[in-house]
Amino acid sequence: MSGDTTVAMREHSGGRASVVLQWGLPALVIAGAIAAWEAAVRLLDVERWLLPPPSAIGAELLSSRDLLLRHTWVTLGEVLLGFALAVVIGVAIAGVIAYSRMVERAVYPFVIASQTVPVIVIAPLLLIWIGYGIWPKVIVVILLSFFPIVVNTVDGLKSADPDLLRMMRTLGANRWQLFAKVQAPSCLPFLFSGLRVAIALSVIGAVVGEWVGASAGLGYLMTRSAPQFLTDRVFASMFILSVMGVSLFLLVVLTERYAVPWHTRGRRDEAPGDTSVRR
Amino acid sequence: MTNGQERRPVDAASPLKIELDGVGQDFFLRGDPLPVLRGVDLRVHAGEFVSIIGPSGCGKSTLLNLIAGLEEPSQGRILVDGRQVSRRLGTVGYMLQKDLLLPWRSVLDNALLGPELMGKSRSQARSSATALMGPFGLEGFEKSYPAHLSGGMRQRVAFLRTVLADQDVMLLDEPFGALDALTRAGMQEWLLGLWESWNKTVVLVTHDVEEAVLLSDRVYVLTPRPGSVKTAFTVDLPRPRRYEMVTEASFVEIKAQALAALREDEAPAGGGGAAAAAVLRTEERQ
Repeated sequence: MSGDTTVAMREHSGGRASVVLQWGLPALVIAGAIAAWEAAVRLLDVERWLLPPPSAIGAELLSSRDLLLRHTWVTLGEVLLGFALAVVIGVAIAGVIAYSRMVERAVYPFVIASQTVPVIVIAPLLLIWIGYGIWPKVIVVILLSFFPIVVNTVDGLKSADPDLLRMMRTLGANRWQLFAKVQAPSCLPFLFSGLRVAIALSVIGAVVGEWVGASAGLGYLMTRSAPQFLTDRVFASMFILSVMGVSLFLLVVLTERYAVPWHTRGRRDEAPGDTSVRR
Repeated sequence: MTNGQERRPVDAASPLKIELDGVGQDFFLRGDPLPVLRGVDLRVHAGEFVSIIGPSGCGKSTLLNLIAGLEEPSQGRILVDGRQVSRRLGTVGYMLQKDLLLPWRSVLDNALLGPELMGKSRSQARSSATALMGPFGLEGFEKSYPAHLSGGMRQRVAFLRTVLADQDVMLLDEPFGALDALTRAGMQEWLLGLWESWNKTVVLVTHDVEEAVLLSDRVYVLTPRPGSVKTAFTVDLPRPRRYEMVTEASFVEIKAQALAALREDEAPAGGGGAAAAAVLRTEERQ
């Protein structure tokens, strides 16, 4: 499946004309912006260390690809590990909060407080406590990304239609069955809303973590390149980070489409995906 | 279900399936008790089709919730098969007004919910479900999702789900209330044909007098809130019944009696009464 068609499924694209309009127009805008950037830098004779033209960034991407790739893997590892742990922790906290009003009152303030302390303050502390290596970055990723997961999952678990639950009870459902067969599936669309936000924040978290203190990763590469006026390398790193963020986001969207087919798609005549939600 | 046997005629000698003795129920509005039902006495024999009619907000749905075990009465007692069971949930079939299909499940998986929750064998339940797809007008739609079905079909899936739960008693809360008149008449006739071929006890709540008379052996008329039994009458029409009977003189006569009983002390429209009833209806949804 090519990237164009997967993304096109999102909109109700009517025919070929609308597909061209949908994808041609944004592509044109982006190409125009890059061309304008290139032209402006050349015409105004801007110094390369101040603002490199897109062509220079492209050249840097090619010539330093081994270096960039090495640091990309490090950052990607932190992002994925942190995101995965954030999902586990976030869903667990949400589950506890949704099932007890008392726990909600006790735990929710801490969850919210964790978001009011700037991560940039916590990151150096983590460095002192845990040292260098992957874990301080992973923890920053978790701190940033577990919050939208908790908030959305709590809402999702509470969103189950009370009439559906009553119907299930008249059929003799016990509490576990209510959860597994009604509340969990009702929650899935909410969970995925949280995951979409969380994955974007995960990339930011990893870079922030590396910024504060690291020996590898794209954030580290940027902090090291900027003082040396290797501005094209900074931009090349930013470009890779953007691609990483967008790709991971689309991956979440695709997973959602597969896991929540009744929510994301209006019409389906066959049901290849429904085994994923049936227990 | 359709075992070909003639339905047993129901008479006073048939065993009692459901008994309500002086049942009362209160709701609490900001701490103040609000009586919804008061001293309801109701008897339903095994295999009988009983309808409950009454003005809006008289507690008809609450009555079914009580029988189903979703609520416990504030006063009085409820007997099923002559015994006062503490946990009626899962022993009485209950079809609520909305179809309440699980949107992430196919028609078949929605219909099989009852056996699944009771831990019965899936293959066996599946074969009885497949056999009923035809009579329920759902053949070929087993794998469809509820979102792709019409209102009438969704309602039939909900009904099939209730039937497959395989309880002796089925409570139906205005099952056709949300359907248009034409679909509704078709569904009534279809239900008649289905029920007359098998031995189930049915309690139907409706605000449609014609529906009650057409389908039932007996009809209970409730008073306005707090609801209690105002009168009950037997519908002496031959079975099997057909929808065309609604224009026959004997039918019209019974319907007129029922309407008169219903309207006799109907509260004058407007004012606080209607508002309270509206509040109550939303409360009942909780």
